[in-house]
Amino acid sequence: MDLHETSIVCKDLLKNELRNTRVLVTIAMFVILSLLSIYSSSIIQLLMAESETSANIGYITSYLALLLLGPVFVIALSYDSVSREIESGTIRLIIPKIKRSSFIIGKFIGLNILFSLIVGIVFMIIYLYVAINTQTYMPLYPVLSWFLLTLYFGCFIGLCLNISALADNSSTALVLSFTALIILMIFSTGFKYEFLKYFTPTWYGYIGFDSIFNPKADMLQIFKSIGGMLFFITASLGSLISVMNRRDF
Amino acid sequence: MLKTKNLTKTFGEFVAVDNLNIHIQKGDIYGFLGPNGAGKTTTIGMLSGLIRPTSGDAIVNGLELSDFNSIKKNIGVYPQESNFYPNRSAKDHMLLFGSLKGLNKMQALSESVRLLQLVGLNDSKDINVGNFSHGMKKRLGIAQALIGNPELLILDEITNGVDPLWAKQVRDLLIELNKEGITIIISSHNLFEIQQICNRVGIIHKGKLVAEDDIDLIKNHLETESIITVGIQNLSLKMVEWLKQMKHVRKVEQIDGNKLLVYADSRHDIRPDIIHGLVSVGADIFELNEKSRSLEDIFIHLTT
Repeated sequence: MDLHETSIVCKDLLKNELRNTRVLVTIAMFVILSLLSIYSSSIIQLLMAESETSANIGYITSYLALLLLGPVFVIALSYDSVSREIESGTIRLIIPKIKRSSFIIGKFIGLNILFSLIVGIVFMIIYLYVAINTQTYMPLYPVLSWFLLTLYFGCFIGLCLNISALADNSSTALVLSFTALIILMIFSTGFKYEFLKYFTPTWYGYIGFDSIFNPKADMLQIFKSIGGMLFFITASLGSLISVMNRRDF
Repeated sequence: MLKTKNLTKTFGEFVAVDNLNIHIQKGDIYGFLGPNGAGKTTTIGMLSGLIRPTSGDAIVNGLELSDFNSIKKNIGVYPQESNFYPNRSAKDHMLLFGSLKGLNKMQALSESVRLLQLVGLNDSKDINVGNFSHGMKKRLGIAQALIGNPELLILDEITNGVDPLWAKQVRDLLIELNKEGITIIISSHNLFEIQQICNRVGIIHKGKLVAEDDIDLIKNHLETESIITVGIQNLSLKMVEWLKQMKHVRKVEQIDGNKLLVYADSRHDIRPDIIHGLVSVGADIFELNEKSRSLEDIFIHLTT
């Protein structure tokens, strides 16, 4: 990997994704979903007694909403990051100029920065909303939520990019990405075999959530959550580089 | 400059390129010829770092193809079936490709201005490539391949589908670039084009190299048959039979009523004998032409 090449690919992705109507619509939907979750949290709050948990309810609902629906947005924004370039032939002008690993890691970092920014904006809005409405100022919750969700989305970005790099066209990449998401969601419930959930990022995202917001939970769980998600990201990056180095364009 | 060593690519059972050994010297304009499906694009793909060889290797400027990252700075590539981002301008593309080639912003900018001017796209530099014609995209393809001053330029079917005027401009441009010291590999179906600009040619068929040499040497080596057109006002069967009996004549075909095609061994000039003999049997000759074999004839000969 070459840092200079990686940074160019990353900057190029951010610059052009933010000019893309589809991307902007997806980001807008993402933000709307988050605002809806705040709205639903205020209804839930009315039903709850005043307690520390009720003050956190904005973060809890947003975190859960993003934990369950966020991967759909990840797929929407990243399923064709590589397959679109393969399908259109633009990759044939790029690959002869740079290292393949620089290309794919640049894409990966670019998408992670994009999602990190979106989640950051969402939690900033929620923080302001909670602070104004409850006069409670707890920056640790939004910061931890942002960090864990950024890692969580990073797992799905890695997965989507793997599928995108393997697929020859975007429609195949989309179908395969959604199929993989459904399988992971089923596995995360434990399905028939409890051990399956340990192979899903959703499980590690959930235990991270539990460790932050459940006062009775073991705080050490957060390290398990971070470690699990970092493992996923590392594995998907390794797989991505291998896929890119082996395939023909 | 470039030498392949048993370069092979298989797709499952299908052998696309079979132990290819081509040799390109510095300063060559090397024409890579072959019919559809011969393995030209696969070979170009392997030399461009787009396709991984199954076995074999290539040496570019002393560096092995397996270490493509080291050689990529010295080569410029315009592969077939490549495309540009439709919603970006020619200038944006050049800046992106320039920075990928390791140029800083200022260098990339000055290179893009110089190269877009060279290919005649300076006036269209701010227009989105999606609005470009096929020919304009090809010009941009050459410009992006030239960014970073490569020593070796690899062009796949560069004039395919462009108008004849522009094709001539490309040929002139390639000759100019070659004079500046750039070695060029050009794959093409266009035999006329290869004949016009290339000094060396490699002919590939079913993944194998069937001929490789200086273009004139290949022609000389294979030019063993000449075709002589003979026009006779009072053409008769007797005259045809007489020609068929002639020494060094292989075949005689009648065309256009009073014209004959005489296929003969080109190592012997039999035209004086034809005139002398036909006149002696009363022939009234109005035409006698010998056609030399073109690269196209050789290409067909080698690949069929």
